[in-house]
Amino acid sequence: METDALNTLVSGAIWRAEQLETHGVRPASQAWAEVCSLEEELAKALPVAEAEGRIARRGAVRAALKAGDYARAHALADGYLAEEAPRSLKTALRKILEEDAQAMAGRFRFASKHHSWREAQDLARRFREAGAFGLAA
Amino acid sequence: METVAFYSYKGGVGRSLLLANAARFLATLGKGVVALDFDFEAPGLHYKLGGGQSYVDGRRSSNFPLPAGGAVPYLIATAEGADPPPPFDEHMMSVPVPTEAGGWLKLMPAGPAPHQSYWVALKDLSDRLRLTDPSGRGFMALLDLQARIADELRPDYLLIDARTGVTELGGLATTVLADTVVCLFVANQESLDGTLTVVEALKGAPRLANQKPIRVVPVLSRTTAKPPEDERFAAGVKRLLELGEGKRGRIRNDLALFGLPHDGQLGAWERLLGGRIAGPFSPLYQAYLELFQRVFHLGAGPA
Amino acid sequence: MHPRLPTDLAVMMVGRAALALERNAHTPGVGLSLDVERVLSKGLLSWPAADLTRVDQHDHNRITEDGAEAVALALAHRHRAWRVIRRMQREEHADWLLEDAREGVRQVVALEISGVDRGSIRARLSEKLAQVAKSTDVDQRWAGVVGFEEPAAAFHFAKRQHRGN
Repeated sequence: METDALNTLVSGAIWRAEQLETHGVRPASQAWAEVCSLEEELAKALPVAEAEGRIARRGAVRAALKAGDYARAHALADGYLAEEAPRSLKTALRKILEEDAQAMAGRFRFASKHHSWREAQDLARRFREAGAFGLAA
Repeated sequence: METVAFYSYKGGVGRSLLLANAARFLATLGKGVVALDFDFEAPGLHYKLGGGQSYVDGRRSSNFPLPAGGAVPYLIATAEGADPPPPFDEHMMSVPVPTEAGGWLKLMPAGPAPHQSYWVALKDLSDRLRLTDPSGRGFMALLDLQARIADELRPDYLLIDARTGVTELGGLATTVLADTVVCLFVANQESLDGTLTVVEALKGAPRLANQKPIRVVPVLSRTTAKPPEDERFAAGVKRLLELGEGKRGRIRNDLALFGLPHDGQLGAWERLLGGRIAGPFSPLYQAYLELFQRVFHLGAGPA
Repeated sequence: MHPRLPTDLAVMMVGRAALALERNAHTPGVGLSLDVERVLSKGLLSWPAADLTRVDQHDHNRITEDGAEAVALALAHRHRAWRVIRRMQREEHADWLLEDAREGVRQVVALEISGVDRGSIRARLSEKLAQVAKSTDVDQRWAGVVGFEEPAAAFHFAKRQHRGN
């Protein structure tokens, strides 16, 4: 899809997601998943050397977290960090993930005293992939 | 705090009754105990502990009122980011236990079942708790509940009534939350095969860094005097004993399963056994005591 | 004007701008005071008529903010020849990313917009300048504030806020 069309779509998607989030409406996470997909497409179409490419990359990771898709956020960030990107973008991507981890640690403060949030998320991902008792692995 | 989950592949094997008796027994010994009903689709632990709707002499009665909340509403609230977390008082209550040893017992039921509000909340549970949420929020909500119980209530034991069968929640209650899993089954191939599959999975389950490998204690429930004579069944039992913990049999170095005999006295109003008029001479209760000594690392039990 | 702006979003914003102006008793053709980096000018604002009987169906603040975005984007194109590229997520510290291709070299502009229903726009402008100064990866950082009581708009340029990373 052409970047003009993607830019138009992402504009509408961000608008909608932010409105749903402001009003505390549950489909907000689904709306952010849509934003993530569009930002991801923009990131594929736009080189990291361009400002819009870097904005799209930050946007994709951020939107994935807002959609509650931790695995996708980290996968996207890992991919972008592996690119020949400016240090400022890499710093920004790491900071986005770190801030999310801190927010979760604050929300589940009892569990966070005993378990690493990242480790718990990795284990959650393994269970999701392997099913109950890991029997579907 | 040690977390012991009680699991069965099939229902109706006496899992909740065993847990209720374990909880009460430990409290009378002076231990602090929290019992948690994770059998959300068929909650019943509160019945076994004397709460909820029950009938005595044909009249409805209850030994203690249930809280307005329970595990289902608590987990929904925390998974959605309730800050501060919901007060335990609204979701948990004390169970009267006769003890002079300083023990205590608290129960977090699944929720206010069978009232309609519970089934409404349960319907929303999978959406809101989102155990399969890739963000891990649902997963962390379970770990957070366990950690908060440990930090705030400081019990010696957390006993979890896990769901039967192969379910996400049952899987998490056993593979993630539990230090020890007591697996009940009955003497038929279906129950044994399913239990063996789950126990194999438990022994190989990934754990968090600060957790030890899961202890498994398989228990044959509703036994009759004569065990099944079946090579396949025997091979399955042998494998269970390789994976889990048994008891010393009559012959030196021989391992045997813990067994819980069928008790026809329990009848329809299946309730706590220990402390009842039937007394501790019940063969079932004797078997319970033998099992508790192993599961909870106790010395000789009470006379 | 802004071909990349989603049509439904544009229609909604224009509708709210109309409500914001008419609830302040203005009619199409009202004069507007414009300040672009302290260069003052005047213009006229026109819009499709609003249905004030429905104003209570809208959030009061959203009328002001969304209406301001419509006016600001229209002025941005009219006076600076900027065109919308895309909307930005809140964490980018600006509402819109626009392109400025006036001098043959394409530059990207971060524009943070806000609206004021009653009173002066100066305080809000300072606040928005501080916010958009944090935007990264853009060539220019601007804040635009629209006031509806005495129709006015101010666009000021923000210097990049450097943070030690």
